[in-house]
Amino acid sequence: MAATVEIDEANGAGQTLTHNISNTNMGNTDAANLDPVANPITPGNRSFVKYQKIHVTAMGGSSKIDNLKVWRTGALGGAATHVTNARTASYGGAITYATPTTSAVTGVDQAMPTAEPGSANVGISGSLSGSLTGTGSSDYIAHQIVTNAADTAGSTSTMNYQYDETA
Amino acid sequence: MAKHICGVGGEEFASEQEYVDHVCTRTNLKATHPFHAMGPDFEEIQRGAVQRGKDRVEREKAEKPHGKPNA
Repeated sequence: MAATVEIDEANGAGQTLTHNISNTNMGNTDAANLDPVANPITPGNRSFVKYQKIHVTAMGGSSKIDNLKVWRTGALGGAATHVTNARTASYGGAITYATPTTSAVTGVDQAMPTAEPGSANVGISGSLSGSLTGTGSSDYIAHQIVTNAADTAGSTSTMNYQYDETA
Repeated sequence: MAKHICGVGGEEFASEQEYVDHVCTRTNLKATHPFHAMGPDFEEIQRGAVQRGKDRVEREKAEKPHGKPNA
């Protein structure tokens, strides 16, 4: 047996947690598994920021989950950029959840990596060297798309969430 | 109090433990079942994670300097 791991997303003022999301579509609404066609980002604006976490629901006999990494594979459309709080150095601790908006968020200002980072860029209990030795979650991964006025909707790329498991 | 929603079946719960303990109406599996959480590729995902963990442990062992006894 091995660990069971899911990706969760928090939304709304009440921090409603949707467990085991099926996608991380970015759009003009604060919702998990959103429909990007029904909620396109207004060109020149940001998407609603997403707060997600890597959640271990069962250890399956393993002793540790650590070395969490997140990155995006694939280009964004137009001149859009993708910002996040994930970083491999100078991690400022766990980001505090706030009701998602389309505004810039302090600390969500790193470029989302477009290849696997060389080391952990998602924290556990406020530290990149943190680990889970039982069920629990990572720190929040906050990320957001920043568009340009000339951008058009419809770009597709892949988000990667990776962890190491020690038996 | 924060709500917890099963992203697969849509059921709502008042606590995370209730979510973790539930049997999903869509998959008929517990939330902790790897197929429910990770889909049909769960074995490949788990194998990759365990292999990375194993590789790192072996790498760290190889990099550890040999201890020398005190004189």
